[in-house]
Amino acid sequence: MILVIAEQRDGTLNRATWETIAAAQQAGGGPVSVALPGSGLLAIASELAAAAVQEVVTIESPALATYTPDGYTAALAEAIGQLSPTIVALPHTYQTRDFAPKLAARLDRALVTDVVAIKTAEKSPMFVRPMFQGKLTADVVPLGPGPHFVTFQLGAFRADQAARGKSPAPVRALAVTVDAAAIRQRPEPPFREARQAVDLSQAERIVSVGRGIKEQSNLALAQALAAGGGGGRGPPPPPPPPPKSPPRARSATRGGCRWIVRWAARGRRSRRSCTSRWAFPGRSSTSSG
Amino acid sequence: MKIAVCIKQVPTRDSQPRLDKARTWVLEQDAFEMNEPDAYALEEALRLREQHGGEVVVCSAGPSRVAQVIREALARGADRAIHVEGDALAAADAFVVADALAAAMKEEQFDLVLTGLQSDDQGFAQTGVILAERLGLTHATIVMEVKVEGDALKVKRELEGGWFQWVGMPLPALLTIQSGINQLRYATLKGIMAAKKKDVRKAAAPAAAEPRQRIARLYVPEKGKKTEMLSGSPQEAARALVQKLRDEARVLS
Repeated sequence: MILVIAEQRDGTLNRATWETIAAAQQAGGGPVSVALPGSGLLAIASELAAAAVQEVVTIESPALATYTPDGYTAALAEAIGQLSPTIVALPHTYQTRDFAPKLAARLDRALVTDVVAIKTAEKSPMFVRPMFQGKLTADVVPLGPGPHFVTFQLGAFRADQAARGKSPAPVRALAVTVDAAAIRQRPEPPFREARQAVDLSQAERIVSVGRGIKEQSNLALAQALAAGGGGGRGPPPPPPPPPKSPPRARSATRGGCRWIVRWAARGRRSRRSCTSRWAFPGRSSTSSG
Repeated sequence: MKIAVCIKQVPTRDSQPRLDKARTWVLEQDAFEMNEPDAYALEEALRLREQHGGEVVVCSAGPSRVAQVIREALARGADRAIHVEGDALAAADAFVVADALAAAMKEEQFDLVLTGLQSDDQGFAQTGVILAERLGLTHATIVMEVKVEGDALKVKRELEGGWFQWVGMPLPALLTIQSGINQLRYATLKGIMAAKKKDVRKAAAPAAAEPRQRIARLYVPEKGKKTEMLSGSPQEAARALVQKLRDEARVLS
């Protein structure tokens, strides 16, 4: 049995869960079940029951109302012990990255992360994942006793290809004991940064300007266009020094930057023109722009 | 405060790794550098030491060539180093590396352990968190800012979609640091000279390391380029094209 760990926050299902259900259904490892940790889960459980899965198991506890790695690891370690799956599938989200290695280490089981495809030709499935920042691809076999943990890169499988059942799957509650006093992390409510921190991976449209904009004073035109489309604004590019070399477009994979304002007059990509030099851990570093 | 920073030596970002004969790993090459997020973790550790006192100990697991990045970290200001040496660690998985580091770090009783959030080579994004579990530490991942408040920490975590969150936790703890959260310092000439005299403790890798995954095949990503002719009347072809743009290319929604 493949167990998909669903992800929700404050009663909203992370849609990457459907991608993971699709991946689990295509893995050819037998029936698929979904485990849903949290608190106040009924609405999401019935949403997930539409999938063609064996059952939806809710792991309900007041201690799981807010995500903490200690709480999730304790609850899921116990649930996995009771359900004894062969594979545990998760979306490669920030939350999964926070607790899945801890959970795998607690149970001493293999964890293959950031998987983009599954090869089922051999008797045990092989998991395809990028390495060396997407410059190479590896077929990876998890070793040792099961269950093996696998996390799937966002966007690698299509949510709309998750098979839906003819009738809703049964929903059942699994009793686990989570000791709230043993949870060491004290999370505060999430917040958004100032408007500068526009996350381009979430943007519907991106207005990008090139050498045709000529002068920095003309940038106001592009900003007016973006504002007209209801957009936020990334950080402004630095003022252009005199051109040194012929301008050319560069891909923006270095440093995990997925987007650049191509300020052609600079002739090279400025680090400051990136909205962010941070890695985008949820995505492959192969994609750019 | 006694701070450990785990750094990994990885091939330089500009190099294209070449496959070995078996096509399960890459050939050894000359150009290596400090894994980028680890460099930011080191910088954060040096800043915390400047604010709160204590020492910064660099820990690295890998073959003898790893000494290069250890020296670099010492030149930037780390006080001493632990080198877990083993040729097999170059291509080892996250469990093997974390177990090797844990064995060498356990007795030191660090207050704070910093690592990068993932490596530029294998990119597991696991080693730090597994190490936290092995050392019995609380942890937080993808950390943007660290505040020490007495014997507790308050860290700013990055969440998806431009969201952030402050999380409080007791010390000792392990944090995996996001790239780009501070301005890296260069090694000064004085620092480079001083690094030669700093202590590097060598530890042997645990003998019976049990790998948790095997690379069956390593290859250059297949870049598919194919032409497909759509037949039928213009109406049918247009309909098929729109469907393909929506479902396969996913440029329409």
